[in-house]
Amino acid sequence: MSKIPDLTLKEQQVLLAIVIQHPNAYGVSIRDEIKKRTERDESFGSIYAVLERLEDRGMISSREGEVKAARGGRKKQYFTITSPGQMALQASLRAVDAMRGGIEIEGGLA
Amino acid sequence: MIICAWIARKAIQALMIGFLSPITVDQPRVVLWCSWLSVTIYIGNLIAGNPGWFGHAYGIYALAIWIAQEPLLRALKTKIGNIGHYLVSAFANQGDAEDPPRLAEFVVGLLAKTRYRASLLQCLEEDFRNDLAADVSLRRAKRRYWAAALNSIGPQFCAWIKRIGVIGILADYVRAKLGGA
Repeated sequence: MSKIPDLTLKEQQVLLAIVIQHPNAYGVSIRDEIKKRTERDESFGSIYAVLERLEDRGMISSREGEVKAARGGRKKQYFTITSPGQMALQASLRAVDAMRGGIEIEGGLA
Repeated sequence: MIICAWIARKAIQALMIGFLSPITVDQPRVVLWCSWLSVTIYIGNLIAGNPGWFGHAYGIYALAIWIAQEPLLRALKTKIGNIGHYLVSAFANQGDAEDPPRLAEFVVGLLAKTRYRASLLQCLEEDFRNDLAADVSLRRAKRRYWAAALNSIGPQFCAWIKRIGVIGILADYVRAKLGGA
């Protein structure tokens, strides 16, 4: 049985944003989704670095979208989670849930 | 002293690996790195003083290996192609005043990774258009575009600076100033 790869927090967030935005997840929508839910403003550079890593590991796939009429005519690149990506995300979230089970953290621990 | 010893050790390693590994070696990254190091040391020696006939010979040898490496040739070809492409696309099209700053686009086009370059530029432009649509002034929108662009390419720019060997040249300069061999 192949080992399911571990995910970092950023990878989890990006994968979850892709799932939420499916099938129209692209750079801006992923960044906005993460900002809306975590109040963290990520740069496009860090988002694309994570996307590149995930695509290299076969967890997401990308397709080119429509060309905008605006200057430059640049294509959007849409991202979709693959089944290895879904399995890795599920395993990663289950691990977090298992660790969190029964613990209530109120205020500081010190 | 420690810096001198470290540089001397790296130079010996580079010298040995450089001599022992032909261009067809199975570890191009190692050879590329070693020949890059040798070239920067050679340039440092040129700046600091006369490297001697052996220094010249080895410097040219290391430079030949470095240039002959396929990844470097490919990278150079891509970069030169990109410069032309982005110069044309950034400056040939006059566009209207409400376009993103062309110089910022050019810098992103030059330094961002090829794979997601177009979509990164598209995302930056979309943010810029959203700012304008939200009644942000053009000047502020352009400033925000610059900030987002630099924020996005910052890490890649640092990696690029390291690659071109500025740090190696600086190390040699420091070594020369400290009076190292």
